[in-house]
Parts: sequence; structure tokens; C-alpha cells
Amino acid sequence: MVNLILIIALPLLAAFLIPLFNYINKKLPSIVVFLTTAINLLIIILNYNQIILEPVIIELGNWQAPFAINIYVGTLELISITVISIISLIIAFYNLNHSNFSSESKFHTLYSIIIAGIYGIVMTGDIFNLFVFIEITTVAAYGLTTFNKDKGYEAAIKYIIIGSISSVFLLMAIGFTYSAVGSLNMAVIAAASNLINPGLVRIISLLFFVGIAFEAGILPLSIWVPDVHSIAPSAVSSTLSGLVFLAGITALIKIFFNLFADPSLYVFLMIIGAISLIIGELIAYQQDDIKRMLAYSSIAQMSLVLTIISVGTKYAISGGLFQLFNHAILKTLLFLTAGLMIKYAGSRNISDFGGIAKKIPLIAVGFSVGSLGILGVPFFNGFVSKIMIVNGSLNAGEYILTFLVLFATVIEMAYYLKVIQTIFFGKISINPHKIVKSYVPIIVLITVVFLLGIYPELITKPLNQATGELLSRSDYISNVLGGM
Amino acid sequence: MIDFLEKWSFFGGSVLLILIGLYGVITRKNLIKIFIGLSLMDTGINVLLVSLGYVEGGIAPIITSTINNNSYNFVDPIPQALVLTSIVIGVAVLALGLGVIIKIYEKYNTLDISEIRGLRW
Amino acid sequence: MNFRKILALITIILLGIFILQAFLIIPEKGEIALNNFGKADIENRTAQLYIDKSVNSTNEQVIYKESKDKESGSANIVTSIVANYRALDTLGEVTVLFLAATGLSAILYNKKHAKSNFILKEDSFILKNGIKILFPLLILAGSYIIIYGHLSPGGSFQGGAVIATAFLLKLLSSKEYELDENILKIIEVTAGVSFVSIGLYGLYAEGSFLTNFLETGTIANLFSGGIVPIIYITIGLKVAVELTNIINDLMKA
Repeated sequence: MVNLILIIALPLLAAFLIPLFNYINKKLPSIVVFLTTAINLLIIILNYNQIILEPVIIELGNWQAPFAINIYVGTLELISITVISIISLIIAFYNLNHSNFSSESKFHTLYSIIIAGIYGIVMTGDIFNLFVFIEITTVAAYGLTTFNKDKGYEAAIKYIIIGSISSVFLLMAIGFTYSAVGSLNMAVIAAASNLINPGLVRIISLLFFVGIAFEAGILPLSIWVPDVHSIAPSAVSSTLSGLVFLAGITALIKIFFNLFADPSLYVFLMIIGAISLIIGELIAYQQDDIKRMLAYSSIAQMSLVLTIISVGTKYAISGGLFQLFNHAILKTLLFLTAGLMIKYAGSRNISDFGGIAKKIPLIAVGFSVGSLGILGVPFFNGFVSKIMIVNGSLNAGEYILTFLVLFATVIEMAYYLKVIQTIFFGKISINPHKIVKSYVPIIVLITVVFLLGIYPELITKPLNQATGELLSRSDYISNVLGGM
Repeated sequence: MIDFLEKWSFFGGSVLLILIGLYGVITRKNLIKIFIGLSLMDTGINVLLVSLGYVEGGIAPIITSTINNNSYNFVDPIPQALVLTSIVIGVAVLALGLGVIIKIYEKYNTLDISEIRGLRW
Repeated sequence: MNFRKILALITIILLGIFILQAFLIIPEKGEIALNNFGKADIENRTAQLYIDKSVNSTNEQVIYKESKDKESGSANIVTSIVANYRALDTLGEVTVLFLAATGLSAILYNKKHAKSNFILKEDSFILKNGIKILFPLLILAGSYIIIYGHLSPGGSFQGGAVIATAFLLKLLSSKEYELDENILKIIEVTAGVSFVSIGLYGLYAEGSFLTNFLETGTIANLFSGGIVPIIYITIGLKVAVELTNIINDLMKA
């Protein structure tokens, strides 16, 4: 048993040391970041078997559980950090060869810290600590966005303005909660939430929603997403779209299932999510810029996850969570391959990618695998989760929702298949702008996609357990508070 | 009456500060003015947090030769610690934002968002 | 008053009503809501445990210069929260500042070694010599605020900001003044690494990250509080360096 706090502490330590490593050798920072992400994966694997049996509570500074900051790792958190560690390792590997920025060591510093922040958002059991980790993640993301010297600044300023406004509302929610309950610990708040005036609960949870949803890719707070995701370097887009959204949704789930379980809120979440889903898909359909299209698709996917989870039945929640993790894997693959195609073709427009598959087959195949996975074609990982989502919403009697999900899938199919058609059968019209090579990350990601597509039990079994934990708040409370 | 005024001058005042800041962010066109609005919002939320932890007649929570933990009322120390954190985070974001603004100014020679491509909303 | 402003005004007013009604809720019996102004409830809550220093131990009176070996030894209770009970938040906060400084220097990287284009008039005699006198005093005051942070009001963030002000004045007063970026970098790395290392040593020695592994001593003595003053000094250095870096970068941009 290795203490799980190390997966936050080690990336921070590495980031603080990077100026020194950079002084020794310019190549060293990327290698160090790669090694820390690898060690993190190792730490999680060493802990896996124990946490799956019983949630782990890490008391920081040896202070008794509800009174200071504590870190809570249940099954949902365990699956999240496992997925995060795998993806961050792959992206760190990609960064070894593809980060030729003018200030490379700073890029790796920010990347290392954003990973620590994402782990923190997922694992923390304290609402103010959640705020701090959200700020770490967003400030690192602001910095990473500006590494595109061409257009990054406009996107970054939009991101900073919206992020700052959201963080004010998040702090307000935290202040109100603290004033009412007198504690910042999630379990204490959960235990007291039945006593809080229902009107106040609604205000607080809406403020929490405003504060976190901007990080989770739900419209209308996520109008920064297309700008930032399309402009940031590919590794950053994958991190933001795959991992930061995952962490944001996990935080929202914690707030709305562990902290305040008020059924009237779920209806609100469902409506917001459904609107955001349809709008996201419709705008994605109109895009010609491939990364903008992927960004809007991310918004739609996150809204889909939020909508389905707010249905509130066990089956639907498992499906939504499965889709969340699938999306993280697939969008990493899509953004990495899209970035490589852009580099190769020297253009961002889908129409300029005609016949690119004949030149760089592996990358084109990687992109297609990602697209088909998102669409939910059999044998891809998205298939099982789509089935679970549709079944879950049907079983819960939400027929309108089922219709919307299917409608969204049809739009999705239209624009993803259009891209696949262009890159495989389009007229060859490209002069290679730049030779690109990247085999290992793409092959690994494709393997993961098929592994989960053919053996979904790998993840559905722990997911069912996680859903069970989410729906039994009293267990969560008694785990943290003990017999109190 | 005094109670009423006291309550609303802190709670209402800090919320008003946040709203004024937000109004500035929405309506102003100059990037620097937008960031002044963001700073106002930050200040407002900090005042709100501290005033939520205020105890009538309370003093700063420091143990000195005349004051120990049982003999006096202390104000709530936790919001003060939180505000310390949020101030520093606000400064960090502000500094980063100003750096980006400098770059935008170099590129477009203006700070008016209606003249900057990709910033119109 | 155009359409956009009216729309903004309406949004703001609606938002204001939405937020302010939180203060107007009068709880029914048994319910809890926001506290009234000046009626923050501390009794039986986490805050009282922090004030009594009795999270892990039993409640005893904490007496100035007498109480020994309490679980957290700093006389300033806010400090004990910032650097001891909720030290992970503070680590995160320092990280955010570090991120901002790093991000800023990456943004302004191209012009890093250009001379300041900040238009300064001919160095005036009073400015130059006044700052010569002020500079050591500000450094002294900043260091005092940091080192006595666990005993008196103030602390590492405030002290770090004061030290950074000293360098800001120095930069403003003279065109020729250049900060040695290597020294800044060394201090930055040392401070950040020692903060995390203190935490990791706590994990190694006591089994939990950021645990106090030293004697906490007598309340209100200079050498008391266990790791609190050490953490505070590292934070103070880090804050001073990061703020100086930020000022330096912004002035050279």
C-alpha cells in the first residue's frame, strides 16, 4: 500500500524541479514528466486491488478525518484516476517528441502541474480544496493555451475572463455552504444537507453548477471551449478535452450526488444537458475546422453524460460514466491524430484532408477508430456505453430523452462519417507540409479502444460498484465520519 | 435598524460589488477595464467570505499575553484562511491575464475587443 | 444606453435578486440557513477545534507562553490553519502562483532579454537615494513579517509581497538595475522543493503528507509551532520570488 497522495505530490515536485533539470539538459524535463506519470500509473496499480474492496480515506497531516482536508478514493475515483493516469502517460510519451516550443521546459512544467490538479479535483474530499485544484487546473490551462503563439492569446483571454467569473460563483457557493454547515468537508455537508433549508440548497447547488460546469464543458458556460481546444497544441487539446472534462464531470457528480441529492435538481441538470447536447451537435455539424468540430463534439458528449447521469437510475448512471471514460480515451486519440493530420496537410479544414489516408495510413486509421468509437459501432468501446445509455433512459421512462440521444447520434454520424469519407476516399490534393510520425501512442490507444469494446466487463463491473456507492450516500458519510 | 444596516452594508455591499464588477465585464469593451471588473468581483467575494465569518465583538484569532482561547470571542478563522488563498489566486490570474493583454496589444495595437478578431461576442 | 447595456443590467439585477434571497431565508425550526451578520456560529464546529487546538487532542485552555506541546503550536490561529491544518490548500496556492509566473514568462518569452521599454525619466536624486534607504528597510520588514508569521498578524504571503515591493521600487528607480535571474531561479527551485519535501518527510516519518514531525514547543515562543515557521519561510521565499518574477517580466514586456 503506497499512499495515494503521492500521485499529486510527485508531479508537483517534478514541476518545481524542472528549471534545474532544464539547466542540466534541455531534453530532461520531458523525460522526467514522462517518468512521473509512469510512476503514478504504477502507484495506482499497486493500490487497485485494495481500493476496489474498500474505499480509502487519506487524512492529510494526520488530522482526524472530518476536521481537516482529507482525500477520498472510492471506486468512481479509482476508475477515474486509472483512466487519467493511462491517458496522461500516453500524452507525456507523445510530448517526448512533439513539443518543440520556444520555451519547452515551461510547457512540461505546466503539463506536470495540470495532471496533479486533475488528480486533485477527482480525489479531494473537501470543497475548498476542490476550488484550489480547479484553479490549479485552469491556471495551468490558461498558460498552456498560449503556447500557440499565433492565435493563442485571444482564446486565452476569453478563457481567463469566463474562468474568473465562474470561480467567483464557486467561491460564493463554498462560502454559503460553510456559513450554513460550519465545515468544508464533503461528508459533513452531505450529512447535514437534509437539515439545510431547501431554498438555500437550490441556490447553493446552482452556484456550484455555474462554478464547475465551465470546467466540465456544458453550454452556455463553455463558449470558450471551441476557441481554446481548436487553438491549443494537440497534446493540450487532448488533455483539456479528455482529462479536464472528465475531472469536471466527476466533481459535478460529487456535488450533485454526494453533497446535495435533491431530485428537483436532477430535472434541471437533465434539461440543461439536453439543450446543450443538441446545440453542441448542431454546431459541430456546421464546422469545417476539424479541431473546432471535435471541440463542439466534446461539449455534446459531456452534456450527454450529464443528462444521462441525472436520470438517476443505476443502469443509466453506469452507462453515463462508461461513456465519460470512453470519451476521455477516444477524444485523446481524435485530438492527437487530428493534430498530426493538420501538421501533415498544413491546413485545419476538413476539405483539405482529401485522401490523406494513403499518405499516413496509421494516423487516418486512428482517427477513424476514434470516430467510430464515439458513434458507438459494435466492437468499439462506445458501443456498450451507447446501448447502456439508450436502455437506461428507456427503462426510466424518459422517452423524449431517448429520442434526443438517438437524434444526436444521427447528427454525430453525419459529421464524423463525412470526415472519414474525405480522408479515405477524397481526391488526393495534399502536398505534405511536414512529415509526421507517431506510432506508439496511437497504437496503444487503439488497443485500449478495442480491449474495452470486446471485454467491456473490465470496466462495467467496477462501474456498477461505483454507481452503487454513488447512490448510497449514507455509506459515503459513515465511511468518512466513522461512527459519528 | 442599526443591525439591519450593518447586515446589508456587508452582505449586500459585497454582493453589489460583485454585480458591479460583472456589469463592467459584460458591458466594457476595453480589456483593461474588463480586468478591473474581474478584480472588483474578486474583492467583493473576499469581503463576502470574511463577513460571513464575523462574530459580533469578535477579535482577530491570535493568542497574546492578554488573550487566550476561552476568555475572548474570536472571529471565525477559517474564512480568513480561505480568503488568503483566494486573494493569492486572484493575483496570479490577474498577472497572467495582463501578460496576455500585453501580447494582444502588441499584435493589434488596440485593447478594444470589438476590433480584435476572435474576441467579439 | 443601448440594447446591450439594458440586457446586461437586467441580467445583473436578476442575478442580484437570486443571490440576495439566500440572505433572506428564515429557517424553520430544525433547519439551517446562512448565519445573520455577526452571528457566525463557531461553537461545536471545526473552527472552535482549531481555536482550541483540539482536533486530535482533548480540549484544554491554551495559555500564552505557558501551554506546551499542543497539537499545533502557533499563536496565530489563522497561520495554524494555513500552514498546518489546511496545508494542502496552501501548497496548491503556491503552485498557482508558480504557474502564473511560469506561464507569464512563457508568454513574454521572446522579449525576455530585451531592455526595459518602460519609459523612465532621468533618475531623480531623491527617488534614487530614497529607495536606497527604503530598500533594506522593506526587506527587513518583509522578513520580520514572514518569520513572526506564526506569532503575530501577517505571514508569508504578506511578507513576500512586501519583499517583492522592495524589488519593484528598485526596478522603478533605476534603468540600469537588473535582477540576476539565475539567483531567482535557484531560490524558486529551493523553496518549492523544500515545501514538498517537508510534506514528503512527514509522509515518511509520520505516515501522512504534510504532518508536523517536530516538537511544537511553547505557544508564542519564536521557536515554536513545529514545521509551521519552516513552511512559512519557504512559502515566503517562494511568494517573494514569484511576485518579483512577475513584476520583472511585466516591466520588460
